[in-house]
Amino acid sequence: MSNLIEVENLTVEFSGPSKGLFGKKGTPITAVDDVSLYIKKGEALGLVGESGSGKTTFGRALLRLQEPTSGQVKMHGQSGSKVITDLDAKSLRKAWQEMQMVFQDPQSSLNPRMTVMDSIAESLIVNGLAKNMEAAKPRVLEVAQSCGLSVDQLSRYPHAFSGGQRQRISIARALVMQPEFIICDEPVSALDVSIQAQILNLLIDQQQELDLTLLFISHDLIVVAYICDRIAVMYLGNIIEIAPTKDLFKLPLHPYTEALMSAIPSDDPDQQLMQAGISGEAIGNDATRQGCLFAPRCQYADKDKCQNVKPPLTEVNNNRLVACHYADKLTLNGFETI
Amino acid sequence: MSDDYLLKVEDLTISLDVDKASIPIVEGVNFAIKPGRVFALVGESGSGKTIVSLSILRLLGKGVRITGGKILFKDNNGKTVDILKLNPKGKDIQAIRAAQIGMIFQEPMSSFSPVHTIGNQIEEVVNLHLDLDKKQARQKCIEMLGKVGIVNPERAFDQYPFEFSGGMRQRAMIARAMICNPKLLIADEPTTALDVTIQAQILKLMKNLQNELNMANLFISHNIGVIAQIADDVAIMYMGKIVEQGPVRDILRKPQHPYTKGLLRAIPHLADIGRSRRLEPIAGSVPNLFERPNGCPFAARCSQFIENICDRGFPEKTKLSPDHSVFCYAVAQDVNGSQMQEVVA
Amino acid sequence: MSQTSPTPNQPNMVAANKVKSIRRLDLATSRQLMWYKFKRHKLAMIGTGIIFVFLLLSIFPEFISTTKPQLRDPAYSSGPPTGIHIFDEEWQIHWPFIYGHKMKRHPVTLRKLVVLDTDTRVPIEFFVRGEAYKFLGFIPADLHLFGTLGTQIHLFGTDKLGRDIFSRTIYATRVSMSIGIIGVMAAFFIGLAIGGLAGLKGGWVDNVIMRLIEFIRSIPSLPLWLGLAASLPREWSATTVYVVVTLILAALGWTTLARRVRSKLLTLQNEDFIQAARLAGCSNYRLVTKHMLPSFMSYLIVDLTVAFPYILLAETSLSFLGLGMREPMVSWGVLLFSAQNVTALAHTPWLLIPGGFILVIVIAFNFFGDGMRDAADPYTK
Repeated sequence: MSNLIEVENLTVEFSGPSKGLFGKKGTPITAVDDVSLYIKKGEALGLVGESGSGKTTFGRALLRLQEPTSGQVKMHGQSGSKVITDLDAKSLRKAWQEMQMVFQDPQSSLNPRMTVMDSIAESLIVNGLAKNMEAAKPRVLEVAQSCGLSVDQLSRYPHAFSGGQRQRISIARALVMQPEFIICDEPVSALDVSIQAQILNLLIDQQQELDLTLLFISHDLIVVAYICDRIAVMYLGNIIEIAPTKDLFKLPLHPYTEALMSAIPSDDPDQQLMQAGISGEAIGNDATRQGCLFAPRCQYADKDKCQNVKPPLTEVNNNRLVACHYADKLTLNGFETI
Repeated sequence: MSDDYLLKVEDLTISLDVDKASIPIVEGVNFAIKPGRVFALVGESGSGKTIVSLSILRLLGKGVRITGGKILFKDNNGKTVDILKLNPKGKDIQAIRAAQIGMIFQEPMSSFSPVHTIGNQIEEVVNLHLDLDKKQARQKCIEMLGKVGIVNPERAFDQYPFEFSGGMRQRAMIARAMICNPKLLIADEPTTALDVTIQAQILKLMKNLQNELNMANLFISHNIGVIAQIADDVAIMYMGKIVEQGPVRDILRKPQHPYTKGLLRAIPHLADIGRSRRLEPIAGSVPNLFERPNGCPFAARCSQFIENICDRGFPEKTKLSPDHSVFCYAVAQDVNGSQMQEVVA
Repeated sequence: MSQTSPTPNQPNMVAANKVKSIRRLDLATSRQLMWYKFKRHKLAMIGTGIIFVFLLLSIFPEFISTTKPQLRDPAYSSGPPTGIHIFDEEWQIHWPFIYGHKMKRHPVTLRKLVVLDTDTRVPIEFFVRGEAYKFLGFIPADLHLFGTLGTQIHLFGTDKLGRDIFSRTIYATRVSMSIGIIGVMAAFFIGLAIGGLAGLKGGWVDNVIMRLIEFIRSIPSLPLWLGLAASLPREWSATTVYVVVTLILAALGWTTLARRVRSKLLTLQNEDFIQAARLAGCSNYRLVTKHMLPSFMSYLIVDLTVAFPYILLAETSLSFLGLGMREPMVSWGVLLFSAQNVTALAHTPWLLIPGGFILVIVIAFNFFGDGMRDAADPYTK
């Protein structure tokens, strides 16, 4: 399988709080820190991290909704290869026909002043694929139906729909142009448990049916595991581990991945909570930070190497990528039963 | 149920006033919290779980009215008080709040005033309810901050909320809620706004404190995993009604109500990773507040729906064991089918 | 064993009606939603009614007034408001009428005094023919809403020169209201353009505009108006002065609006639905006109309704100080100008009646603005 998306050294910095009267720029905060990865055609890649890990910024930077500070994003779509980060505004709009996004909050991702029909049809019309609403209608109805929306509700406004239905509308809007690549940014975290499953199923079905490539961003490791073939774990703007889902759960190689997994509260009341403990909370990332960013919370960190040298994402054992100095020496706990 | 309870809610009914209509949002809720146990209310948004918890401290907002029932609380003097009979702005309820029933909210961000130090805000509770001089009060607060796992509590006492991270703030809130050694702690989604690693820390802390102080806990959450880890008893709420309640192991391992079953099936399980990708959702969505059905509220989404029975009225309690009960016609039919049919005929 | 629902039937009926109205809301546009919300605000509805009446007054002053603003009734100078009677001296009931009047001199002070002549009864009539005027500026007409034949009726009394205060106030309504409306409109477009530029361009453009706004806002407004108004050449005609005064007020009133536009644009740019529209391929022009503008237009209208009374009051203060409008143009401020000295107030307190109009319209606009603010965001409950 060939790669659809290739990200090379992507960095996004936000200017820090300015100091002094004359607005001297403070040290910039690094939201995405020199990230390189690829997404294969037809694959679902999960991006997991806690709040502040930069996963949302990374997703937006891929589409250039947030301009990256440096680095490259390449897409090898059916219409040929292009470097997304080099496109001008017009070509970027054209590229967006092939890459779309589903947002987290179904309350704010739809224009409350447009009917659902208008929202879904908009990209068909502005991209010139349909002259008017009448011409766009067949495609809109088709995609709406495939997303489980009933056709006679499309003339309503978003406020008439529940959160789950709105998320279906968002997915329909993202799919209407038949994109190859979709970024889902926490698409179910604002929904109730019983609705989450509906939306996840919809995404799974659509992905298989349309052979979509997916980047699924979430803080919920289990949800990601259900959807994705591979999982990338992000910590303070860095990918610290990336592996096929099963391998990752069976044997995490990074202490943070281990901690993340052991922190999942088991739904078995007799299973003890959190065997591998990590203490403290993540502190922000900027150019002044030295060494492994996870070291201050890591129970395996030493006082020398981990504090001073930042571990690169390197291949260990059998094709596993991990950013830890001791990845090949530590034996971490996963879920062996999987 | 035995008389061994700390707080007992009987037939609690709460309505929301919208324009001229009065819509019930909590209906006929019954449960009892035993001393030293963790009782969890589980439900999705709109199930009324938060409303129930707020009504215990009489903190309901405007337009939300308690229209019936009792909330019996055994106070520090061993007397039984009906909290619903107290004046919500009166002295009696204030004496109960914080001193005897503490509360932790979901949002650690907005639960502290940004213009006072953490220490001052905890000290305030001490001054209101305990008879301590300034030095003692400060000492007690610092002790408590240390107990909830805040590093360097002396320094934390003089810090402002914005200097704290989310997890730290939640710890400070627990410290404030527990400073007077309440007999009951109400925790409304205390870990929902937190990251998983922090959530695990907070859950662990709450469990330890609860064991140490032998305090009862009303824990509200929608997260089954969290419930499994912390609760002793569980009540599942749907559209303002309890549909099933019992000990946590019974509910999670032998769920009886179709809603409970559906809920447990709908969440992704660790064990299923890599086996099947599809989940088993509950069909449909929670009906609009105004479209509340007359019968069982879950009827429209239920896979075991029985026509002309489930849509007629809310089912009676079916006891499956002394502690485990469920409100469902289908289950009742299974348990004692012959009896049911007689009545329907 | 089947237990009946504890819900009594009554609330369920109400709930059923509620469902119907909710279904209707599902299809409602944002404008309709706003209207539903606005309607529920009683005071705002009253305010709207009053504003409507004032608009009528300013469109048809010739028809509603009884005479022309500059016309004098020498026999009734500084006369009090004419009393409208139903009973005559003998307590006999009649169609509403007024008494005739005569001018006399005070036997000692020799001051002119208006004395009622109870022998002549002049009935009030509706749709009477009176002073000729051009209806809407071009249709010749002489019909008036009400009036008397023979003796003049002065509902609000007259000033020193015998001019009818009622008619003058009605005509002044047109001038004052139009200054408010035109001023607000001009401020609106300037604010929209400059605020839009700052919000969309950002960078140094934004910086320069924001500093400019801060500079303008830091100037004490009254002295500035005074300075600007006083610098208007005396020989300018009343109409020119009118236009220039309006522009001066607008030039100072746009800053609040510009700020609002800018901040709304900046927050909206990060909204998910705007990002989604960008991804859909919308051009910047479409993003602004189709997605952003409609989202904050209602807030702008709220600001406009709040700005209106300010402009109105500003004009009044200027004219009151003798620096704004001048005769023969009459505005409420011009009318109050003649009520400046104590003797005038003591002997002819009815000169203050135009002030009551200002009070009423300002309050009405505040009520209206309150309702608009509630309705501006129809999606929060």
